Amino acid sequence: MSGSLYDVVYVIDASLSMGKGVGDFRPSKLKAVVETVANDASYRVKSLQARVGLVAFYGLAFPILPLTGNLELVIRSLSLLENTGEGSAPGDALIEAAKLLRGSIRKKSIILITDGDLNMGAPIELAALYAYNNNVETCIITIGGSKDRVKIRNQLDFLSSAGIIHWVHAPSRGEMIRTLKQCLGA
Amino acid sequence: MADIALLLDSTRSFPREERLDVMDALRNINARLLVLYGIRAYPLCENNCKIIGNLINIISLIPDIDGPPEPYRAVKEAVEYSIQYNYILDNIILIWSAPRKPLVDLRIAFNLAEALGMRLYLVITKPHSARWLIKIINNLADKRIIIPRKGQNVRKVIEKLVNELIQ
Repeated sequence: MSGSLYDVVYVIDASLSMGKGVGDFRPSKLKAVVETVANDASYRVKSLQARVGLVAFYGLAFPILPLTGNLELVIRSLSLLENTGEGSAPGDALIEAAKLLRGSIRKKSIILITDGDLNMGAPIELAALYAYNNNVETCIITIGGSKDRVKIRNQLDFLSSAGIIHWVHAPSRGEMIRTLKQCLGA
Repeated sequence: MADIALLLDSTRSFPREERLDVMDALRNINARLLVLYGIRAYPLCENNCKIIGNLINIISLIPDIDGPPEPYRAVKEAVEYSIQYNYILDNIILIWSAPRKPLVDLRIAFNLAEALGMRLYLVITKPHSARWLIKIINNLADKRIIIPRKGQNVRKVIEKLVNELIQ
């Protein structure tokens, strides 16, 4: 593995529910996430020479950007994200993110940010295990409201206690920013 | 070392105990593996699959995923793997317990596999539902269907097939 260099794929929930504002996630959860991820990605690319990839999801998951050190491309890709559709398939998105990291010789990481629903696609347990088996460190950040309202909290609890993922719930935007920095041990 | 993609059927037609038994058998296989799961062929592990124990624990907790299995998706996953790693998997084994007509024609799956020199094997555990399949297969060259004998353990069938492929 190449020193302390790493590759990170951000996985962003673009389902319709993310179009709503809640608490200080304004004007919408998605826009707040995109702004925060843009800042985080800028830091990682400029200061840590990380490469960054992007995957978005609603009921489908779609890779948006393969791994790149081109920050302008990252920011431009993030700015294109909109609330796309119904349904929520974070499992599929996690699998697509892990595939983007295939062949990387750096430390491999995924940061998935969602408001915590799953009603389509691969079970999150299978997807998380696939990432884990590929030596990918996965950090899942659920946002908004209380932790008890996260629909997949039982699955995330299980995966977290098994050491397969790190899971943090961020009820506020400030907490999300702090959590992003803690993700990946970076 | 042979290179094998193996798809585990996640439907109710393939009992969970047999599913877990096949996974247990994979621990001892000296091959480069791509393990796929369910009707949409979700990848579970690839290359060394050292942590099969974890897979067994997780899969034992997942409910059956029912629906028409898609052999085309398994071939697509194997092709994607091969392109991304620049390493062709030689063999694709599909455990397909009670075949219903898939959305994508099976001949397309065979065609895609063979275009890259991959051999596709179908292990059919409930062949009475497979008459439509037998008709198609009879018209394809180089067909590879394995039907376990009555009472024959699927794990043993997979072990035998994989051992033959490894040699």
